[in-house]
Amino acid sequence: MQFTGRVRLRGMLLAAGLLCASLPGVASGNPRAQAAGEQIPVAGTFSYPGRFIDTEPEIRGAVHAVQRIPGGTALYYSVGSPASMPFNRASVLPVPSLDVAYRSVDAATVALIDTQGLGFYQPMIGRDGCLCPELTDFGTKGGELYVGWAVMPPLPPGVAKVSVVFGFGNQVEDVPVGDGPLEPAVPTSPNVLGQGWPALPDSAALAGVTNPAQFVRPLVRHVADLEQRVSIAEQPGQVDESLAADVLFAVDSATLTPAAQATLAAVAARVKERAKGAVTVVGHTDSTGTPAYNAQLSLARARAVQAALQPGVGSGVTLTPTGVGERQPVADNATPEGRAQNRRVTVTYRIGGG
Amino acid sequence: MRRLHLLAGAFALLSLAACTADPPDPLSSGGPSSEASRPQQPPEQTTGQKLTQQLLMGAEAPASVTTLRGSLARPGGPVAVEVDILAVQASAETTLLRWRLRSGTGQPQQVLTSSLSRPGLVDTRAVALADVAGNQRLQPFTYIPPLKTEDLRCTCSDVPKSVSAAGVQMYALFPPLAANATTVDVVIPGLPTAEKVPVTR
Repeated sequence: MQFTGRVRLRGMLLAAGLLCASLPGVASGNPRAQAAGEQIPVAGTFSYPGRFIDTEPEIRGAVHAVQRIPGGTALYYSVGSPASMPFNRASVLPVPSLDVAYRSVDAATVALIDTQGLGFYQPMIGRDGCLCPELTDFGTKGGELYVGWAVMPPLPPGVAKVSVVFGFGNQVEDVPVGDGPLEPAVPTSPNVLGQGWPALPDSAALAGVTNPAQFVRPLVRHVADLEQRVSIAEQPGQVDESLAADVLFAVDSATLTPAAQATLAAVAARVKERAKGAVTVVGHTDSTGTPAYNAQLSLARARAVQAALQPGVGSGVTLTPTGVGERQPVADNATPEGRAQNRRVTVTYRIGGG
Repeated sequence: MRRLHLLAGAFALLSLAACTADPPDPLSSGGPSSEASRPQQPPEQTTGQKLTQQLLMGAEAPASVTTLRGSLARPGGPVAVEVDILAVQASAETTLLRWRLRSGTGQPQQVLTSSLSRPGLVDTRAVALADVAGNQRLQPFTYIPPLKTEDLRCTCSDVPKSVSAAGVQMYALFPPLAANATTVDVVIPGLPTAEKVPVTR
């Protein structure tokens, strides 16, 4: 923590009050607590059943801190189980997917989310493997909290808060980003909460990470209007605007309705303002009808949208229409709501900053 | 100032000790007592031990703001479930929804389904927030995993394989609500909309 002087003093006094006030139990969620002397920050807590099956013993823990370190960003957390049962460390985190070369024993299914820069930060892998502990580095005794860590790529300079994803989707939001590793660092395993913080990989290990950017995955922000006429998905460098076909067209028709004009005018204005280079317009249908008919209808609808957008986007933007029929559903075609979501025309364009 | 810090730290520790101390032992109150008969005092807990005890002591189950009953579509037929909306916590950057999914029959049952996501995925990205104040409908952030071009992962919980009467707490991280939004509607496919859920900031 970066408190100084009077603020630090007040923080210490407040810390004792926070702990007192919250005894005997901590409601799961995101209480902000801090131990006396500011030695053990707590940004938020979580609890969940092991393996994410509610008949399994409960896992409890806390996110302690996210700290900038040279060459990376360190996450500190702790996990454990009540004293009445042994701690099943194998049930704490899901096995990492095969997307990244983590090993099944790596405590790698933790991440930081930067919602402003749209980045999903995963633990890096160096020459000696994941910059994270192995599950076997946690102890097995109930009644203890074992401290874990992970080193992600460096966050952009302006990022002051992140969300932390832990394990099966548990989240702690608004975690402040601090500077420097937590101290004192002790090279013990297992690392029990309150006995010092895990020693992080040294600078040589961090320097051994090839292309840290590969561990920052594009985050996608999804916002629609209340009627879902237009749903916008934005990721770094790209925007997809999904237009509800039921607003644009009558059933089985590729002729734009009068109600479509205002929607398309707004889309054209955004494309004109933000698009860099080529813009694709793709028609989609639900699974009703034959694939051949759906392919034809989706292409005709994409062409209709292209024609309507072109005057508004200006001559410097090229719109390319395509129809993919029912081949790329975004919802379940077994329900009316799902079919309605699948009937759409998407307008995709590149933007700066990606 | 350093002395002040030490004093404050000592006060903080004393305060902690006061709020965690056992009640007085009636057998030892008043009168002389020999060293041998005096009850053994447990060693004083460290800050780490106190915090550990606090965090492990038994997280109180969050109170439900509202409970919904409905069913999830599965290939073998719909599965009755109950959902507790626990909290919608908003900040300038994000909105975090916490909810609990549990069996609607009281018995453990399989619930793994794509009906809260999109075909082939078992996350809960179809859960939405309708923010009337902001005239916007929000869905959880998703992300593109390595070696893929589609956003196949979500900043939301996966649907568990099964749930019982206890249920599993679920999370979903959304973009921010309008700054003046005090309530929000929570939309979960297959269940009635939870209307006007209070937003905490």
